[in-house]
Amino acid sequence: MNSAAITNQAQGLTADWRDLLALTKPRVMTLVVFTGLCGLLVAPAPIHPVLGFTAILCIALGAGAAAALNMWWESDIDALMKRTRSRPIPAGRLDRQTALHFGVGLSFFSVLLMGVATNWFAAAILAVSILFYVFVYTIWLKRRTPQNIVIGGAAGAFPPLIGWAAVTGDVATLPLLLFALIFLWTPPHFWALSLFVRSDYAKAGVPMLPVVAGATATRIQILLYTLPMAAAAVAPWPLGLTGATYGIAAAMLSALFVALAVRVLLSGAAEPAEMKAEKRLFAYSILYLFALFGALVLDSRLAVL
Amino acid sequence: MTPQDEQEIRRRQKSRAAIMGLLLGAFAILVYAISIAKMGDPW
Repeated sequence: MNSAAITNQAQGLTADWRDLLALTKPRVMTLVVFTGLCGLLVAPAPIHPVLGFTAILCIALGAGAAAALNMWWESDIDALMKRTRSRPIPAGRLDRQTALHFGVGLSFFSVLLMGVATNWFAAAILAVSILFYVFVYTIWLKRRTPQNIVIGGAAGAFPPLIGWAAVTGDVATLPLLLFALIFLWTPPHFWALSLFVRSDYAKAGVPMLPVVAGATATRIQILLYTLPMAAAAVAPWPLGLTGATYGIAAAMLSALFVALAVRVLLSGAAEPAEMKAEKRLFAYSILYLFALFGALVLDSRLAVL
Repeated sequence: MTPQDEQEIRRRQKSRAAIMGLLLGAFAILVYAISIAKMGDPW
């Protein structure tokens, strides 16, 4: 008998470590680690490399903890969707209790380590971001309002703020603008995805915008969030918080984002197979965030030279 | 529980114990490094 065959009987016994790792959504973590690292690198002070590494580690562990608690709460709807039904809990490879204990333990560990290694202000923001993601987004809003991911986006916007605070012990205009940027970036990013996986959300009864308001309303909302997002992306330059390197890169990257969002607006595709513009916007949105933060760090390094 | 189940569970426990050992070792080194960093030059 192979390992898959005993999973159902083995529930509540011993989970495979790979399934515990999968609870932390390692792929989502990449973006969180990257934006957190950028927040840390653009802060106007040096940080000891070991402490900087620890701060990023804590952000990653905190994000992993939040993801595990999200999967603990959502195992019922995850089981109904094609994209998520092979996750450890709905697939029966891990019991909910284990996920809960793992998530809570990892949360405390990440926050305490952050406080000890850097400062308790950064640890407090990390704690708030975990609590926000789990209680406000996952438990309270996700199943209640089509604006769910707008609020959820705030949780994902915390990392650059935490990275900055780990260095300076406070927050300033630039990290707050980075927070606003990711916050406003999340709706176009996620709604583009939810346009072409709409049928799945409908099945699980999650009130994703395309499900409750239709594709046209979603396309309009995507553009409505893209415009202030572009403004937040470019703002640091005219405000004198960054140099022209970042400013020009941000203007060009954001212009392309707006152009792709307009094409989504004009796209009348009804079937996921035809949604080329939506898929392109989704793919570009990920590249956009990486490129923008990369330009920000490059700009801050050039300013030091 | 069949002997095969028992065997599978032992295998999982063993791999988890090995990973836990590595993580604890890494954590001890990290705490040492943090201590040295905090006692060293004020960055």
